[in-house]
Amino acid sequence: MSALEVVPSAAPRSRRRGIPRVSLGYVGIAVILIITVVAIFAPLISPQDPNAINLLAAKQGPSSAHLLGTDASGRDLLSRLIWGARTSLLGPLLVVVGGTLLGVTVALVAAWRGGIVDAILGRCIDIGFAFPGLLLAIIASAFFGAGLVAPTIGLAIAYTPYIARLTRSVAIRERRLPYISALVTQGMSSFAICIKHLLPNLAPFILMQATLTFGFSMIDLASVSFLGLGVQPPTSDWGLMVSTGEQSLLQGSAWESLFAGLMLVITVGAFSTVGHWLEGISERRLSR
Amino acid sequence: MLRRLVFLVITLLGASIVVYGALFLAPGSPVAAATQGRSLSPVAVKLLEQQYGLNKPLVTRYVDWLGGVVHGDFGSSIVFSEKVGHLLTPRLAVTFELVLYGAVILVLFGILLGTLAALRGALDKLVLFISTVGIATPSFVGALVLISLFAVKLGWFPSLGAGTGVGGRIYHLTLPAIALTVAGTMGVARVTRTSVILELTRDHTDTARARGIAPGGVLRRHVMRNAMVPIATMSGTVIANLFIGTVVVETAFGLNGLGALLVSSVLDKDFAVVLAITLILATAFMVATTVTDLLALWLDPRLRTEGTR
Amino acid sequence: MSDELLRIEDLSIDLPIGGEPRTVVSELSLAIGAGEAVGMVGESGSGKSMTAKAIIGLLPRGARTSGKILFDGTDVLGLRGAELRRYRAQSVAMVFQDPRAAINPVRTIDDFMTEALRDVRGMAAPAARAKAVELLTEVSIGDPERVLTNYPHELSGGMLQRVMIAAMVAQEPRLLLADEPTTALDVTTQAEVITILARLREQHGMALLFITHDLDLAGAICDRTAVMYAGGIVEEQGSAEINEHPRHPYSAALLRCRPSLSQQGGRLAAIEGQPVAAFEAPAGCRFAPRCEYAQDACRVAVPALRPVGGAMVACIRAEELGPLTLLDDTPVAINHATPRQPAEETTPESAATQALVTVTDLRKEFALRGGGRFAAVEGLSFTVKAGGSLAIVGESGAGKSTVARMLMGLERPTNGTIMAMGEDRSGPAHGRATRLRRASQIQMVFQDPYLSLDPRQRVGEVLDESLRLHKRMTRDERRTRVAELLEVIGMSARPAASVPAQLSGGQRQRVAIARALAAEPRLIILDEAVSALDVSMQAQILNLLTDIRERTGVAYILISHDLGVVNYLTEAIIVMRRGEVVEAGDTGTIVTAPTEPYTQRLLACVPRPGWTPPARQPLALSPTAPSA
Repeated sequence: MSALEVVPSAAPRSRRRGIPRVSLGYVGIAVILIITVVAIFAPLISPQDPNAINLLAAKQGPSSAHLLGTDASGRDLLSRLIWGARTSLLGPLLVVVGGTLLGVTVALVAAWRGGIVDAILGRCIDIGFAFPGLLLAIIASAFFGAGLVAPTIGLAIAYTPYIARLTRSVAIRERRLPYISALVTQGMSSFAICIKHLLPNLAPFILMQATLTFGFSMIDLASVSFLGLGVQPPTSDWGLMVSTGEQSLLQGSAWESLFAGLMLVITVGAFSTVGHWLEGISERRLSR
Repeated sequence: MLRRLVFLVITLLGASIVVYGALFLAPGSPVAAATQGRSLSPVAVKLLEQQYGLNKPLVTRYVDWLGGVVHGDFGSSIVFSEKVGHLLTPRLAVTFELVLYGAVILVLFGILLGTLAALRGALDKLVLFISTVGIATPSFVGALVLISLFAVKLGWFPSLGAGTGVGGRIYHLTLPAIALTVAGTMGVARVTRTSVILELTRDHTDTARARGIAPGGVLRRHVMRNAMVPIATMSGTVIANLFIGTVVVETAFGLNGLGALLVSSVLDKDFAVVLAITLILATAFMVATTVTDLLALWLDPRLRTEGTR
Repeated sequence: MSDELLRIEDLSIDLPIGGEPRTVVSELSLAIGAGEAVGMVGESGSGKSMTAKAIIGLLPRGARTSGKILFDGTDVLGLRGAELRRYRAQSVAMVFQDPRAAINPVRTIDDFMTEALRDVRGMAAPAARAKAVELLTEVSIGDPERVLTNYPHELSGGMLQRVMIAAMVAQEPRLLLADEPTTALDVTTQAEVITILARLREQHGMALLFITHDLDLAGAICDRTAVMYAGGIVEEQGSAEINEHPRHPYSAALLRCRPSLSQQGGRLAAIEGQPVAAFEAPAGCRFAPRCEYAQDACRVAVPALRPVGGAMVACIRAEELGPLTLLDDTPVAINHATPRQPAEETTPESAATQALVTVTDLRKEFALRGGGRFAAVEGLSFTVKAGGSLAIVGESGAGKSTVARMLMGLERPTNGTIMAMGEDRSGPAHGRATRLRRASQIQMVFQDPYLSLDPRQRVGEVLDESLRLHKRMTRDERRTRVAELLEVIGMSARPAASVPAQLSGGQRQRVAIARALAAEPRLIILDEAVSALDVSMQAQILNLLTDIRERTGVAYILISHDLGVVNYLTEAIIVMRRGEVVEAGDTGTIVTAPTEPYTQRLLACVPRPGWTPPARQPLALSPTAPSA
């Protein structure tokens, strides 16, 4: 009845919160794109060999020879940061892809089938919640040995229940909308409805979750690296660089930790900005 | 309530089986860790294995271990040659104090910042920016920034160690607690801001205004009261995660807590210790989330009715 | 009106919509006397709710106003801070449309009822509580002590609205604003709430501004009625007079287009086009594009509201047209010759094959939370013939939608059989062929046009998808058929490219009907299919449904709570209450001479010209029992 009268009261709110988010969202996307391109073309962009040791040029500040300075072994920091983007992005990407595929599948099955299937999957999800991400990543390192693979698998498993639980609740809400019932009464198969209608309408939400998860798992993986349980030296990785830079930092040369930490903050910040921007979009979609 | 408790115990049991099984199937022999690279005669190895019960089948060992845990005995550390219980007791205090300190900071500042952002339009953008940066800051990066600024440059706080006495403890734990909670505080601030803004525009808030209730009353009894539900849920979840976050922060600040010990034990393959700490942290995490759920139930009567099914 | 309480002078309201200020109320003037009840009637976007919000100072952020709202001579638009609070606390109160949203869900009814008394009046807790109990008794709540300890979600909608009214009256306002307070309620509950509202107004000497979309409802409770269209008042008259002799073409059209308890079949005198907001309206008279009396002169300037024959009318032809008549002189002729059973005797088939759907002893149980079972539908039997029509009528919780869902295979019956077109539909559809055959035979149109279309799909795709499922057609054939279907529902080919968000509610419901038609079903189930629409849209859709039946011979099962709509569209009725059949039979007979007390009460509660809510009868539910 009052569809039109709803709009005005929502309008000032979305103006207050929506517009800065939109522009910030684009900034975030731009940052993510730039870092991704740098990571992909690292061999072409990197000015020097990231692993070339030069003890004579150790712990230097930024100069024309080394734009961002050097680490304790005299390796070029800019080159290490560029190569580090690869490992630092690859891990979270695998976590997000794995966790989302698994989580969304579980969520859709649970939401669509309902009843006993939903109850069983729901219990599994609850049990999964007992394992916080970082703890599982550390245990995985203990199990498989340190490296990129073990913590990544651990995190993917740890994030699956989170993704599944949130997606399930949104999917159940969407499934109850009459347009889905309308499609059932059209005689369309469950699978087709899920793939052609339900999933596309959940897409903004799933994308939002994936983006936020990317940021979180990046922090987790960097933390594992920082603890020495993740990527092993001499591979370039931002989390590892913060850790190896700690010694220099205590001696007054903060460059390595500073730049690596900054890259982490900027990248995760970009992902969470885009995530919150998408959250606004999917909320508006869902609160139709 | 009872069902939650039973579920908690069952989940922990399941978790312990998985972790126990996984750790003992892992490549790399614990004996090698205990001998620290020295080569031993096969007889000596046998003796060691017997001493730590490594020659029995897995299931027997698990049952033995579980029996011990029930009596408060977590087995012995191979590396430290000491009862795990003795090893953990002093460290337990450091970790829990750190989390408690962090939780206080988190709740106070998170809610304060978020509410200010929601109510004072001028601060909104600033808080939004700070929270974006804060959420994106890994605790170890925060730790290093704090150390280099307040410990190395200014010398206001110590960079290492946990301190002694109540005052000394608080003094020593301040930087670690801040580093531990930077992201969480900002997360709580964000949720607070969103929920307060949402409740401000709700119909029931309008009803209260329409009845001539003073802004303070509207804010307290309608806006904040209702926003407390998501805020409490978020705070509880974040606090639960602080237990795991201590692993990183304790390592960064050289604190002798559970977390730091977990890392060194994983590297040393000191499984009895890894197991014990994992279970303690997982238990703390689950208890915290369960308390959070109960808190939400208490705050929101609608959940109570649904919860009884 | 010697004793004037409220005077609105040239009120205009601009709201920021899409980032730009848009006018939603335009130069509105209205006066309310002390103790007087004024109805404000209009469709979506007419600006009636915003006017009420302006009176109590609750316009959304960013709203801009001009003009004056004088309460006892003070301009309330200028009030701020403590003055505004004092005005709200002592002078006005507002009852909102949806009490479930308007009452804080996490606090008890006690808190809600006594908050303002303690906080604003400074009453002590026991005194405030005693007053709350007294007022809850006044609004006919049987066990006030217990209700005070409840939370809002533990009460039914009707109960909550009574709590709301009691809480507002507790503040002893001099003016009560009621914004569609009964729109979300069942008719019998609506009648009760209206009775209570009228009684309380009298006892407490309050003035009332009653906002509604129903002229008859306004007539039942108000002394005067103002009809709004696109942000302005087009007519203002005594409530009884306006219902008999409207003077503005819009008021007349609103009254004519309603399906009533006295009209069966034929065509409704629908208003062309759709209602608009002030900022969407053209220059000149805002109603001109939809007005059957419009002339070129109407499109020049907005006509002023001026006295014409005892009424206030904003129409330049008011004197010339005089009081407008309602039924006899309707410009669109009612086609009484319309056969109500078009498929009748066209094929000499036996009665058995003529029965499209036969439902026998249908029962559906649901498991209750916390154990136990409850029967949503119990012992239901009926037959629908080819080309026939049946209405299933009842209030919320009657189980009528469950019946629809079972017929569609969305729910499975616990007991009983559903035979449709020679096939037992009680069980699940195994295999694609069965599923599609069943779907193509019976289609459904849902209540909410905003939610029953996939928001991502364009109109053309919606129809194309249905054709691909049910018809073996080439792409070109489908394209031609989509155009035909759009033609049938009265939409040109252009909207084929629009997504639902770009369409109005009425247009969306047309698309949903076209989608149902695409499968060429023999039966369409209309689940409250016109309930969510504005009155003028509703008439258009009902006419469309009549046309479609004449053209295709499709049968309808109409699920509805609106007896006017039921009477217009169907030839047989089943009245349900709490899952059981109360009365069944021929529509004309039941509407004119119901035998069961429940049906009688239901009919007595339907607003109509000159209607007053019936006195409570012993049959009514006990007041504390949640009715849903």
